[in-house]
Amino acid sequence: MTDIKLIKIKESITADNDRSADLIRNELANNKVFMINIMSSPGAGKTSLIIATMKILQNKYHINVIEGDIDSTVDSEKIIRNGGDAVQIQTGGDCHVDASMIKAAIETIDLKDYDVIFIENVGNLVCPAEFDTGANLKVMILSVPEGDDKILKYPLMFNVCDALIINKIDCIEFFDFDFNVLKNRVSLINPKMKIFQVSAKTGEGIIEWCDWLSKQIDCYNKSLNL
Amino acid sequence: MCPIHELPLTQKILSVVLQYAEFNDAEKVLEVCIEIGELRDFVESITQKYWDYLSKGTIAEGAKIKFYRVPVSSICHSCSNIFSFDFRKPEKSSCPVCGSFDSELLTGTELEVKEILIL
Repeated sequence: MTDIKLIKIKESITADNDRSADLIRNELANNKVFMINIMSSPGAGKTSLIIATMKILQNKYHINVIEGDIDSTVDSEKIIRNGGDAVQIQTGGDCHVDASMIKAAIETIDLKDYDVIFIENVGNLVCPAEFDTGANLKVMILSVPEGDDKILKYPLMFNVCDALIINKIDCIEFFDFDFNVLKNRVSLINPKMKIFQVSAKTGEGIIEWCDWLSKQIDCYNKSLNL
Repeated sequence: MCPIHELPLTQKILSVVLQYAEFNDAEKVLEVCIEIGELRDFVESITQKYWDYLSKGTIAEGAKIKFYRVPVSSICHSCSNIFSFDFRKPEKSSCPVCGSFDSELLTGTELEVKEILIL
């Protein structure tokens, strides 16, 4: 008779993805490229924020954008229309971008030509938080119309990101959005999270965000030269 | 909540399980124990359904998935006390010993294949 055996595993469900993500980070470091994973719900302003950021930082860095969408090329066309370089990933139904998709996208980019890559993840506050893409920085956007209570529903996304960008602050007077309530909740679940208030439309706050981002990129490059 | 969220994760669970089961010369996988932090969105019933679909034709077909939920806890930066943490409730957001709000998550984000039962 065959015995029943208990096998202890203790392996992260996403271990495979995490290993691929680490390999991507190594490859980026070898080519002195800094990658930022931008996440939010649909319509929070990921593409608009990337374009606004790109316009300010393109004097200093060569930028490429990896656009993740379930099935369209709308966003990458928008980036290119605004003078940027873009690679489109179609996730074919997957509601997030993972390391294997980013690896495939990066293989089409000549990394020597770029300093910075933005990933525009699929609009979703759940799955993208689970999958490491190999990025050096994780940033989430929350737009004012979504409300200050999103953190109560999607705590993991607020926990894993390095920075939070509150977008569409130009329309804050039309909504019951309490910035201080949100800030207090963020301080409980991710005290290190850097918070910016911006409007990608009017440009308000974009310089502060770009200055901070630029510092992160320069620190990263300095650490590679050590 | 996004109902397809569990599908890619179930696929990942299956590949970890099959890898360990085959390494241990299993004929069949009977049970899979998953450890999931309370901060993770994970619907248990849908995961079993996805599992039954994805594992068809493999040695893991028919295995039961058991979930161990790990409660959220924090460690206080002021007095190092470890306490049950719920940022949604003001009374459970601060350290019950010294009252400090300055703490760091210790558990609650786990996402692990803990163990499997094989034949």
